[in-house]
Amino acid sequence: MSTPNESKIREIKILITGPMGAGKTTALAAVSSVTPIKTEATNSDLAQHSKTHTTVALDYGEVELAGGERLRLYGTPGQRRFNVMWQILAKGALGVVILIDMTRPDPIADLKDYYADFQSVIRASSCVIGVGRSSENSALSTADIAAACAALGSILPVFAVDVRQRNDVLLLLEALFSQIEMAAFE
Amino acid sequence: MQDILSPDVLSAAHRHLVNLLDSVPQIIGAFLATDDGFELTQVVAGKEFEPARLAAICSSIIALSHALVIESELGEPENFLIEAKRGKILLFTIDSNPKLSLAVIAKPAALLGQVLFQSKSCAREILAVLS
Repeated sequence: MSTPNESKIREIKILITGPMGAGKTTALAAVSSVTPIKTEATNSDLAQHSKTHTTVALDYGEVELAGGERLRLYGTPGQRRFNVMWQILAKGALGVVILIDMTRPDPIADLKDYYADFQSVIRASSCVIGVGRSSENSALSTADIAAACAALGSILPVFAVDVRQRNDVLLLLEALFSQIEMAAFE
Repeated sequence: MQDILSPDVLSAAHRHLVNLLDSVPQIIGAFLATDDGFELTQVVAGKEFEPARLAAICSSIIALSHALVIESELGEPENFLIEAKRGKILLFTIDSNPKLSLAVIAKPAALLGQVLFQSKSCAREILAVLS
């Protein structure tokens, strides 16, 4: 049975998505207050990314914000062949973090793809964009990513982040939570 | 993605899938895929499947089931069984290098013990080929 204090805690389901290698598993692990559940398999698609393992179902973690809200974090697989998992994980989610990796061949195309694929959650609630490895791309800036969001018809918060840094990931989640709260009052 | 196995090895693995379907007529499909959800080879009888999609879903289910077994402290998972109204699906991890997964689909009337026994034998034979 829950105590009165526990019953006041709001639990919110959040997705973390983005292309393979953008750092979804790392970001989730950086903030989770519980040992994350991972579903990694050996990566056999080395042409796509050189990392040794890849998420094939989900990552799960939890984080409590300063206001007492508990976010249940679900990291998605990055590759499109797992889009059945995308649909399953999107059910009941109130917000999406899209991580963009600026060292990939076309970060704006990645943004458009994930924005379109998670449109049901984004339209119903909220989305923030985390831009990783931004210093490694001299041709494209976070402002360009923000402009690409605007071109898609959404003014979304865009942050340059290092997904290994807990405070960077918390910043994304707090911005997303603020959006969720604002959407609830609209 | 087939090139992660040599043509000879892939062909030998395929023959074992053919033998599996021959040994149990109620088995209507057997699929070999990489651990991360790429189809390698398949044998089907009388029903069309979408192997690329199945391979990805099997990869997710095996990984999720694995997480559940580990979370429940039940040791290393061996195989997974899904029973549905119109059939059974058995999933096996082949602990080779690279790690592979085997999915076997059978009619509802199939004897579970027979499917399980023959599928495990098939998985062992494929493991031997890969070794």
